[in-house]
Amino acid sequence: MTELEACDSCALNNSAQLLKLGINVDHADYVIALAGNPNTGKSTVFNALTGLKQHTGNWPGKTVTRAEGGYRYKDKKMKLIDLPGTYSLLSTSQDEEIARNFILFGKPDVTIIVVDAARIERNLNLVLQILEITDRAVLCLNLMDEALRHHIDIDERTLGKELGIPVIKCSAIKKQGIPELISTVHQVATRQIICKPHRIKGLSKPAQKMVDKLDKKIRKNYPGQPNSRWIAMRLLDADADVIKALKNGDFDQALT
Amino acid sequence: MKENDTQDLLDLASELRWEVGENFHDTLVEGIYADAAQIAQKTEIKQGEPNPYSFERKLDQVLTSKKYGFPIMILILSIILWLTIQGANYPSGLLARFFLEFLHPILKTGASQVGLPWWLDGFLIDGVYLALGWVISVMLPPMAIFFPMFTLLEDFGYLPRVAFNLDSLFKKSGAHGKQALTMSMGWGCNAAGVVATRIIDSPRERLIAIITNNFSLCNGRWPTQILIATIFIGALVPDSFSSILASIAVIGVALLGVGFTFLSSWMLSKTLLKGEVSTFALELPPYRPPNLWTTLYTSLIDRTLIVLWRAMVFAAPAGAVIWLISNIYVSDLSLANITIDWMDGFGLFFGLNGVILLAYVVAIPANEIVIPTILMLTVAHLNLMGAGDGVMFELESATETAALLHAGGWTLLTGINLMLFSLLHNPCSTTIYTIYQETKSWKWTVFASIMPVILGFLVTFLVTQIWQVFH
Amino acid sequence: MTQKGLIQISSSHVTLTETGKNYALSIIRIHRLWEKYLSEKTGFDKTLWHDLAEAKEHQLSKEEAEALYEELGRPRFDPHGDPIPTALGEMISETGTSIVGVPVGTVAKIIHIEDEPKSIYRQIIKEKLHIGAHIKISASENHHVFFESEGHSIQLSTVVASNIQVVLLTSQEVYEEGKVRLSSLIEGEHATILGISTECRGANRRRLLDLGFIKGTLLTLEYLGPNQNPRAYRLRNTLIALRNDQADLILIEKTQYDRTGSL
Ligand SMILES: Nc1nc2c(ncn2[C@@H]2O[C@H](COP(=O)(O)OP(=O)(O)OP(=O)(O)O)[C@@H](O)[C@H]2O)c(=O)[nH]1
Ligand SMILES: [Mg+2]
Repeated sequence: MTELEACDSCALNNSAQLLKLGINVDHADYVIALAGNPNTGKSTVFNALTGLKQHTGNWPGKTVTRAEGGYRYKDKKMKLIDLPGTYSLLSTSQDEEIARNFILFGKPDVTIIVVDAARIERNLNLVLQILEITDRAVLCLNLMDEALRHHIDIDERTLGKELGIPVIKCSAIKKQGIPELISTVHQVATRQIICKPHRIKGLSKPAQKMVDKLDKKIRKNYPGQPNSRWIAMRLLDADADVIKALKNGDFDQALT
Repeated sequence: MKENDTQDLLDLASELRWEVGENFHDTLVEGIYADAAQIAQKTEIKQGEPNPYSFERKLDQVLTSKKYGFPIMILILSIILWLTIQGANYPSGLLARFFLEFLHPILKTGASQVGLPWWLDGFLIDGVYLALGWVISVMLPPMAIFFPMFTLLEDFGYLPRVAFNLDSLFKKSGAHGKQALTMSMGWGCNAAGVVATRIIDSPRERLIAIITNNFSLCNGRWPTQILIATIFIGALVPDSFSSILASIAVIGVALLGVGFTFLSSWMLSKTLLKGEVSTFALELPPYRPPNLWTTLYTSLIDRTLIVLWRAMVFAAPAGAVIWLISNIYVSDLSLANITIDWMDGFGLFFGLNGVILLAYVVAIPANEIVIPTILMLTVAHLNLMGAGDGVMFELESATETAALLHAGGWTLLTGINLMLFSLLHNPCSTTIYTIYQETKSWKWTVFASIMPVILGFLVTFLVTQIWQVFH
Repeated sequence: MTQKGLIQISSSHVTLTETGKNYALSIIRIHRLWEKYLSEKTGFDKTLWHDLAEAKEHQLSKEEAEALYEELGRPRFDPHGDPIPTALGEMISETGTSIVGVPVGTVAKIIHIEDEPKSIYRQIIKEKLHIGAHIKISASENHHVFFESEGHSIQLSTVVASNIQVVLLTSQEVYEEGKVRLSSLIEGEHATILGISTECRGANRRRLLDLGFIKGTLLTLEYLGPNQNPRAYRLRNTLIALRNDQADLILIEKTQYDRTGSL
């Protein structure tokens, strides 16, 4: 963590360009979503970025509605959306509906995925699902202080390479890593950093074949659809929401 | 996108789904986790001790044990309540004196100097202003103590353990363990508790939690409980024990509320809410040392002030209404008096009285104005020399209040029944509105509003009958 | 019924006409679809499914039934393991044999449990037997069948047992001797998950999978609640509490050493 602390002070130029806007989010240049498992510190990150006071608490499910806030960085106005935690995008459970729908259909410009550094394997389940949907994401490896206290560290360079997105170590509650997070999000939003997200490889052979077959058909029907593979997987799983979205033509806009 | 293309696609999907078998979902999740495990293995660096969570494990084993789990829970609850009750007393009195005794006369004098007509002066200062003053002095201090303490527990990670401990009881009543969390949120504010039920992922149990949240005594009702317990129950024993006995009585009512939560959950799950999907899985987060200053700051500034603001918004018009009904006369009697006389017979049947019932009608917007309304209406009804018709006030000491209530015909039975009725009556209007927002169903909103009142009348009636057998 | 042309009465017996057969199949389709719906989307006890579906099968229109079929993701089997006829009236038939005649020592898989008569069905349910469960016949007498399933020894009278249909395991399936239910884990013990039983469906199953209760996962039973229920399990370095009836549906193999610490 010492490295980060040092950065905190040398990154003063970063902070100087940051203007917390509170709830003033009209005419934003980019929409940034905060997604992640429950209780990983999304609202804490949200508060650090916007200067707002979203309720935080040490139990999964503290945030139940989506909250909006804003900040300005290098003359770009960002609208930040704090979402309730979710374990997965595959379920149909009601409590996760708000987060699921926003991640799937809200089309944020950048998704900050907040994960618990001490429980990375479990958190990766959701990360890998989100990476199937979007190609602009930043991983916020939060709760680093707690992980280190429990003798767990993460090789963030390897992780970044594996996932194909930038990885930033943070301790949101101490505001460590936040300046780096801000500038990385800016770079991803403005396409200075191009992500090459991980694609799920672990499926069994026959399942993989089915997915590919359906994927091909989707790409033929909807040329340029970036999440065709995801749609294919959801169709094979009979996801009623995705079927409805297809019928309503919600995916047609992806053409443009 | 042409429609038949979409249909084509869906058909292909179902065809493939048929081939791939019904457990594609399992395959998919397993595939994702396989990737996750591989990546985690490459990137995780472990140093030192193999078993870094042993302290938390020990703590958990105590906090959830058969022997200590429940006693510790009740102890923590009692300490928080006791501190809230004791600690709020003094600042409450101070605020009341400031708003009601110091500022009120100044405003009155000012108004008469400016030459406000009597009715406008009365309506604004004796109605609206005093209602606001009362709400602030009664609500602010307990909230400022209760919320920070509760937030500290929350940040530490104790709440999910409470849910864990209580789950077996909730399961027996057909409800979700997480209802324990929403129930404890309700001890602060029922509207907040109802919103918090969103963490319950199964619709049936969520509805149960929404409907029964009203059985958690909220902030606005603690003062009623405390005052009445002090006057009628504390007075039964010598002075030195009276505040302890009063505290016990209040905790008893709070626990009775928990009992009613279980009971009504059980009845609902056996009758109206039979059979909808129910899942249970509760993540127990690691204990985290709370950040004292941040907690104090956020819970004071955000929670306390926001809840207070909402209460004031509702209390202002209520104060106006009280003033109006006490000052509109229909052939010699004020509207308030007519209604009280009319309701008295009905009230006495349940060991209550017309004043209490009218007070509960007036106080639908906010529970915290029940006691001042009761006092004000009693004064008006007896034609005693009070602070004037329709003026909400607080009597200097509990003894004076007691004297007034006794003059109004109150007995120990009235006191006990008022405490019970304060636990068991309709939710405040904010909560009712929130229930509608969350359920989007008039049926359940009406049910959740009426069911507790019926229960309240039932219980007070039974208590009255039993009482009369012994007296 | 004769007037509607559904049955034909000849001199010796009553038979279904072609239309009648189709009608009967469409009723069966709705019945089984509805049972599937009840099992996936509602919390009704399984002993109630049959009656509810019986009431529903004549109310649902063909269009509604098709909409339901789509919503459920075009299922092939009902929760008892019976095939659901297609809209065209085709029905896959998978044939099993009654558990009663199976020789001692055989390992097999339950593919069907008859839900009628109800008193017998209840006895089967009480033993927590379910479709997809592996069994091993350990003995059989005149009036009783003895077998093992998921670490439990079960004894059923032949009358009851004859309502359970089984097939032999395929070459890819193995009968695992050490396969027991998660609920049998003792405080401090470690285990590897072998799978979630098919009996755990719908939202319940998805939630467990999302939380990481999947094949190959290592876990430890950390502690029990004050009433032994729920219980807190540690997996992937996270504590998750489950109720015992959920743990009944997760199959595990106990392991000696704590490997959960190393994830
Ligand atoms: N030690 C430490 N604690 C943190 C950090 N970030 C957040 N926390 C604490 O972790 C808990 C959860 O934080 P939240 O911000 O409420 O988490 P969330 O992801 O918004 O949770 P949900 O809204 O329930 O999904 C709170 O008690 C925070 O104070 C951190 O970097 N270090
Ligand atoms: Mg949050």
